[in-house]
Amino acid sequence: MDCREFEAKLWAFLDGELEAAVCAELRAHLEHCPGCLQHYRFEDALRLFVRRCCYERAPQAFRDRLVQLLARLEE
Amino acid sequence: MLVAQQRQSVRSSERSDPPAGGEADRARFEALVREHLDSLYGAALRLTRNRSDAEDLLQETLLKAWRSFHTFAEGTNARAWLFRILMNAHIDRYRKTTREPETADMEDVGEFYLYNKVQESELLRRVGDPEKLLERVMEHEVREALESLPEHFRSVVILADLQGFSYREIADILGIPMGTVMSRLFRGRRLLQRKLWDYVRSHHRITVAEGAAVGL
Repeated sequence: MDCREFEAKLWAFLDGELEAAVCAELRAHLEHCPGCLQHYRFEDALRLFVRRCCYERAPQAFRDRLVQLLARLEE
Repeated sequence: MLVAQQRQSVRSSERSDPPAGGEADRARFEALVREHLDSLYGAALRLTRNRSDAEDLLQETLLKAWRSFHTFAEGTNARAWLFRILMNAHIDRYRKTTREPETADMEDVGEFYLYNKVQESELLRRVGDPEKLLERVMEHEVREALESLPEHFRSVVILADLQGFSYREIADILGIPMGTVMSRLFRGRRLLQRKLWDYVRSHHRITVAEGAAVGL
């Protein structure tokens, strides 16, 4: 596997969507290619970063309204 | 949804379609809502791009979920079931309020990877590590970047990257083929990364002189 093929499969690899045999090929490539390893780490970090930035809990006021709404369903 | 409408829809659901019934069902439903509320809320917020629409969407979703709760089979994927109802409600609302087709869909983003841009840029020499560059992007910019994506790319990116659903689950949630999920997801990610690159380059993080020196 060369770097182009690795890059083309990188996202599906990170998504856990590739078959075991293909994953093994990608891992083998990572072992001797520092450039692709760095790219892999970057994509992984970027995804966590995006997820962290966009995470938001439902505010308490909204939770309270929902509790009332659900209670109403019980009437 | 207005409070009056909301009451009405609650009443009409009680009248016309009594759910499966029983305290046990209500308790199970409430537990389900509690478990998944935060992840539904986060997704609704990025889909609608504002708090009050997100809360309306979520209330509607939960009312619909309650009405069809008797069709939900215990032991199946509850999170995916709730997200399917959320996405359907969102798409219905979205179609009602949006008339123009999204022209940005046609934009060619090629094989854009933020990583490669970083590699090619002078920036890397200053920050040392490509991951350090992420520290230059503000959290609100990431949210803006995601919210700027055309609707059907945004939906898939939210489901995959924020919610961690598999391609198969996303295909089921949105009722589209897996191939379409993948093409929208990959295109959505490229659009997102290009937006983030714009943010990295702007906002004084690269001065004009520095930018000119490396041809940005």
